[in-house]
Amino acid sequence: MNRKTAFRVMLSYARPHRYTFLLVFILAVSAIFADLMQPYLISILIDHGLLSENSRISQVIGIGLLYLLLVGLVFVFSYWQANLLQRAGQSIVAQLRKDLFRHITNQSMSFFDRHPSGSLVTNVSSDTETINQFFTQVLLSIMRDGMSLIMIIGFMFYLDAEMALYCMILIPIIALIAWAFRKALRNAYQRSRSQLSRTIAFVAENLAGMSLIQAFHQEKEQTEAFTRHNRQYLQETMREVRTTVLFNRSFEILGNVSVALVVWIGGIAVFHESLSFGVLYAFISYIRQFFQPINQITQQWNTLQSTLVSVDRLWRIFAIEPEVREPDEASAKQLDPEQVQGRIDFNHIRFSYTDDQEVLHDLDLHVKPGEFIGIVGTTGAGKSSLVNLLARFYDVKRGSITIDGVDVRSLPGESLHRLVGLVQQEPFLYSGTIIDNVRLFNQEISREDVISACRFVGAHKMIERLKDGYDTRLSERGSGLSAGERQLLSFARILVYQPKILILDEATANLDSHTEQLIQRALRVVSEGRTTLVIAHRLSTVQHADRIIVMRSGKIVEQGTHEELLRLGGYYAQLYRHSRGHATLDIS
Amino acid sequence: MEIVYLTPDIARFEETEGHLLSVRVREERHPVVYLHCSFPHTSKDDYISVRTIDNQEVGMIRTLADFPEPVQELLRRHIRLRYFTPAITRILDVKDEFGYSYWNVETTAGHCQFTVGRGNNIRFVTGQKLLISDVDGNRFVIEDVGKLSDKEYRMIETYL
Ligand SMILES: Nc1ncnc2c1ncn2[C@@H]1O[C@H](COP(=O)(O)OP(=O)(O)OP(=O)(O)O)[C@@H](O)[C@H]1O
Ligand SMILES: [Mg+2]
Repeated sequence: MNRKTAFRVMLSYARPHRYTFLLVFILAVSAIFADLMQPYLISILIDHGLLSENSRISQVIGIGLLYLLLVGLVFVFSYWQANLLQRAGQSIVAQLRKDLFRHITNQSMSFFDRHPSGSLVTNVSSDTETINQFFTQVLLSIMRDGMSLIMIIGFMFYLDAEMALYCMILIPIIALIAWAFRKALRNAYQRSRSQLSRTIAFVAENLAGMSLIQAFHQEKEQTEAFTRHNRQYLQETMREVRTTVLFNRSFEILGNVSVALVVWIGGIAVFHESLSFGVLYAFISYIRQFFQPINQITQQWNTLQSTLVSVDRLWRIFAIEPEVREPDEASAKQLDPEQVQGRIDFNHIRFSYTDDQEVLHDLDLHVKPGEFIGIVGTTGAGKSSLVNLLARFYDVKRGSITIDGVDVRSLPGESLHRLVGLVQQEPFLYSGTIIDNVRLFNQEISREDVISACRFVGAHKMIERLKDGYDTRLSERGSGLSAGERQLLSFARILVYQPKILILDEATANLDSHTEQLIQRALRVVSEGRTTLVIAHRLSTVQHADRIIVMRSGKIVEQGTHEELLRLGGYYAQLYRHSRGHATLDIS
Repeated sequence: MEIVYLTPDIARFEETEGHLLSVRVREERHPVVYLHCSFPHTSKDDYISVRTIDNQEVGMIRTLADFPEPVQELLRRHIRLRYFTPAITRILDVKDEFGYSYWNVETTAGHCQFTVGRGNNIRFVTGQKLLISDVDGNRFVIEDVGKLSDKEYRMIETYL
């Protein structure tokens, strides 16, 4: 998608507000007109009220009142227009954020591997903010300042065409100066911004790692480093200030010179009576106002540039289709959770996270209904990848995974997740109360069931100790609980849901040995009649499995029962001896 | 590890002379027990864990209504003691300074001023019920945020 279409899509967000924008335009033009009428009114006052022979006080008062009315109108119109514009801008951005958020939450895990969540947050918050600025500032400026420039010129020509022509010479000069400074201004601004964010990042990093810093007595070094960052920021800010001041002052000087010119040329004309004094006065006012819109528009140029960048970035995210896609209605299959046997077939699967490195190579594994499978292997062997494919966080590149002969890709996500229960090393909890996390917001599951499940896995005691009990609200990802406590809750979740297929990926890694025993016991009860895959570093956990799969570098190298594998005297036997402390060989 | 549910047939609650709660379950007497609500915010009368001083569960009360009125009254009183949370009836003033907010309110337990630190100290426990924990660990609730006056709502809006 190129920039132009992206921009068109963005404007389509504005379409529902087109009448608001029209009204804003009318209001803006009226405000400008009322504003620009003021010098004209004064010129009439001077020429026909004060300097003419037959002037009457009532006429002067009349013009004065009219002037006041205009001031009032400018205020009302500007106020109204600013409000409307903000409202439209904010609701456009709110819609944009909503769509973006939905789009992101529909993405598969692979998306989050490629886009760190930090940068996503920046995209959602700051890029949409930039787009808001586009609607509320850039668009307004183009409308308001563009119109006011045109109207000023119009008024000038209306009052005196010759003088107006002289003034037109100024336009290229002003534009040139604005253009020349534009780049310098933006550079200075960006450099100070990025130095500021570097400084903030440095502080944040240091605060987070404070215990390390103190443990290694790095206080002095870090303080010096901070001072460096800080001084750099000061310099960049000073540069920004200098450039801004230089720009503003040269603009001002130019403004004063042009006023002088107008006074000079116009003054001579007044002397020769080819120009009235009131008109000269109006010209001086207009020439002063002349600079404002040009300056504004050139400044908005920078915002426009960053809007383009933001639009580009956002639309690149919008353009990404989720890799793991829900089956469409026609091809979707259903498995009745009651009827499911729990047979799993990994049919010659190949899988890679990135294009250049395959993680699972032509892996073939068939699991019988109700079988208890232990999976062991070295770090990085691909054990987690294997089960993540079954839970469909990712899709296989080749081959297929089926449950009772049904391809997981044709099962709707919701029904797959009811079938496959997963406990991970870092279990995912939702922001919500403890009870909601155990019953996954399903009100049909009674409080009593939740309590007995929690008691069964030994989480009840920990929960009753909390002041809010089962009503305790967990913040995002369950922070506030230890990793082990979170694991207990996800075990309780599994007990409540009793999925036909159970996957435990290092699920007891964060538990003390007493709790682990509790869990093992609970596990033996729930795994009864269920297909169970258990990944474990501690071999004792899977020793009693019906079958143990030994994985190495994305392949199954051995399989069999504990005894068979020991007799085989291969890799598993080595691992086993090692774990018993009789290691003779180093295992990488 | 099945849950032991306490019913009037097997459990007798009494108040000791020191105004502590004790219970006799069948033949066994527990001289001091505490009541822990499983759902202190959403369902205070149900699933109450009766625990000894060393946090051992004696049993659970499925619902207070299982017990005769006087026992209910006794148990309620002890729950109120443990979960003492005055409800805020009127917000007079909330000031913010250096990340701390200073509250001046009227509660069901009278006029009160307290200080709330930064962090997760003000949060909804149900859709409308707001729980506020002050720096000393005291807890206050606003039963229904929707019932606050506009002025009061504006005072606390930034903390929600
Ligand atoms: N999200 C990811 N993006 C890219 N590569 C990944 C990702 N997750 C894992 N990998 C790579 O895939 C390979 C297999 O990883 P996997 O997590 O499946 O191993 P594992 O057997 O579970 O290891 P461990 O015992 O440490 O949990 C590793 O080389 C790993 O670096
Ligand atoms: Mg793993």
